[in-house]
Amino acid sequence: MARIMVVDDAQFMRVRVGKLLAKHGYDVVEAENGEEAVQNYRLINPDAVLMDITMPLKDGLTALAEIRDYDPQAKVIMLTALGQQSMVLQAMQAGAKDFLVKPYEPERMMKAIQKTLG
Amino acid sequence: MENSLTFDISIDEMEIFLEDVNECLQAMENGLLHLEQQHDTETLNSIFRAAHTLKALAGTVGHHQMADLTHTLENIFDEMREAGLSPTQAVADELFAVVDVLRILRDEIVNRQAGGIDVAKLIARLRALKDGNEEQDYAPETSPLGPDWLTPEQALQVEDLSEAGQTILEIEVRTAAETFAPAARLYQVAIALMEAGQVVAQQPVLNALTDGDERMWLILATQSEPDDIKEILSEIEDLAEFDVQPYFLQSPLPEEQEKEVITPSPTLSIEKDRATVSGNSQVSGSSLIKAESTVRISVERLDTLMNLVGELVTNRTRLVQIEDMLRGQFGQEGEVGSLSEMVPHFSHVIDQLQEEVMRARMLPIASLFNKFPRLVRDVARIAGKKVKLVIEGEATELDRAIVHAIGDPLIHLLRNAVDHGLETPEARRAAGKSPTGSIRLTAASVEGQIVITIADDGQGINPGKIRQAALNHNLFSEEELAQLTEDEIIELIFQPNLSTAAKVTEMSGRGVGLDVVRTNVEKLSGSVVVTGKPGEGTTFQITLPLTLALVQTMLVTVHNNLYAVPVTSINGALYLSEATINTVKGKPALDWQGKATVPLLDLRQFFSRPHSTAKLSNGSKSSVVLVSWGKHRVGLVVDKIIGQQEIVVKSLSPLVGHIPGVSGATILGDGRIALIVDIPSLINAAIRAQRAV
Repeated sequence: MARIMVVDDAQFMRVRVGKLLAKHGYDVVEAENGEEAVQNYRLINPDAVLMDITMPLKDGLTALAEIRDYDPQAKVIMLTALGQQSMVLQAMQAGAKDFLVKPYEPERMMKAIQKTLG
Repeated sequence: MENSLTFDISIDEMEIFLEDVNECLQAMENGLLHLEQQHDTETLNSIFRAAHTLKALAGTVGHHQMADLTHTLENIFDEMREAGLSPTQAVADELFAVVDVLRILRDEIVNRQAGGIDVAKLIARLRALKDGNEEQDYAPETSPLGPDWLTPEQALQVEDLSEAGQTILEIEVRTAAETFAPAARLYQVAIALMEAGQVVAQQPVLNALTDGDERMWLILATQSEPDDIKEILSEIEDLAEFDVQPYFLQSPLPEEQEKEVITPSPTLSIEKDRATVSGNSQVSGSSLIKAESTVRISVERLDTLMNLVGELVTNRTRLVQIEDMLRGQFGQEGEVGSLSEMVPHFSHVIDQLQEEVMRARMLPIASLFNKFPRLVRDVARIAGKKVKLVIEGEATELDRAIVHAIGDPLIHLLRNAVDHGLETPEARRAAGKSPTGSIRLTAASVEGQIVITIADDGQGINPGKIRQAALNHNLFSEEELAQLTEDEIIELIFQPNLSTAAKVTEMSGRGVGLDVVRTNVEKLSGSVVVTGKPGEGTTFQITLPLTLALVQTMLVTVHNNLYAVPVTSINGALYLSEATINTVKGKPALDWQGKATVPLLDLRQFFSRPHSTAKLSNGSKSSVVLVSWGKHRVGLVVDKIIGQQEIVVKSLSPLVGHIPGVSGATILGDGRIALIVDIPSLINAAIRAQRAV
């Protein structure tokens, strides 16, 4: 089963998303900031990444760039919130596959993941 | 009518939700406090992140007002960041108020009850704060898109590809009106189409896409059928409509031609989403890979565990006694020998178990101290004082029950320190001090107890004012006051109804005062003393036990009943027959090693029937236990001292009612019951008796 890394600094968001993914049969790995995300990506090579943008230590855009550097095939879906339009565009230009807007609608999230995993 | 609210959060999620929310709120508050002192980009970044995370948390559980409010905050922080500005004091006041409101909104999620906050109004006020720097409304781009812009090169390319058998399609997409990041969606469209063929022309081109772009036009050369392309596009979110047509270079489509417009049906997808939402809260996170290194446990369960360990500890004492007795009777032979070997090991394990359980109940006092910078700031603002709060020892750990219970007394003392202790900047200058007053709040672990001090460098306590206030309130007569030492006079500030504040301020009203602080501290088996000199400041020192659950006591008998005296308040003990008893004002008093005269309280009298006139008689084993509380010392006369024992404190059933001089009870390992003496009330009784003459 596909393994998905959920990157968000809020534990509640990770657990919430993790539950949803687990329910759909995905393996879930967590990271709580961009730095951990890059490290975990190298360790675990997840099939897809759900990445928050605003995080301490290393933000999502930087982590996206580093992950794409390491693995040009990396499938990263950005987790964004209102007010981050331009960052989303930057993320897409930097190779993100898709983006989801908080608060997430579970249906949309699953659709985006299935589409990204192909 | 109760106004019940519903949120998308289950009970088991609540704790981590609150943890995350509280972390954000604390980060915002600390950040704002810091920014008031100095501008700092990293702090601005961190409060921005906090607002941002909070917005997502609120939005996820469906508290839209909270999400809107944090969104507004986020914008403000973002603007400050861009402009390199820190909030002015007026703005900071508003922002602190918003943090308070956010706490109320957070509580709405917990209580499912509206907190009566007009969020829309608050948002409007915040927007006004931004000095007319209105949020940008981006109007939809209306510039015409279309095939008129095919360059000669592109036209040539289309011709070539068409001749090579590719289908040439003209595609136009438009994002839905409320789309969050339309340009990013358009980007996604272009990428998806590039995977399906070759994009010959595009308006706007990829790297020219900017926020607010909502339409895109492309010419695609592909092997796929138009329906396949429509399929690809239908999978992309947020597209209001897309139009896929065969493209003919030589004969552009007449405008009247009917276009096939596909509009995704929003109602259907929303209903599907709802169905998923309602069903998702039951799932366990069993396939989470990240190993949990901590386990949450309810405080009740910890209490139960502590109680059980307490039972073990008391039984251990009994076991040691029995083992000792058996060894005395039967020597080290056979079974008794094995028992003697086992008992020390058993004791050691129980000791360790006790220590571990105690440690599990410990909480760093930082969780409480963290709230104080904001408190001090607010009080200082209102009181017109300048204050520097220094906090030390916040890593000191103590029982969580005590951490929770000591909050209010500390808040009261801090308020007092700012409001009454410190002088105004002008007065301080006049007195040759720095205009900024200082308050030191420290916590430290000292000999198995926790000592918290609050020391200000303000005007100190004026004994003359207290004396006057005590007279004014008819608490004491002129004669009584004349007998008191200066220290005792200062102690009077803990008397109920004694307020020396020159005026009633917004922060510290009259009536509730330091007596409440003392009562609350004593409820925790702690003590509070005050010291200070006029002009040099005031220091309150609170001493607390590490834990409330287990107490090391000295067991004594009075009328063949067992009483337990907490060891932390014992200064010494001696046989009554060996004590030097003087008579002070007609009352017996102990001469303590020639250094002090200590009033005696005969517990044999105190715990007998009221108005008993039993005389102080020197029975062979009668002893005096010298106890202290704050600055006061009293010798308790008891029939016999049994020895030390650690006990589990049990509160007395309400059916028993309040027994003067007794704070609780315990069951010993052998099943006997001992009453725990209440040192503060015994000392008060002794002092009252002394004065009553």
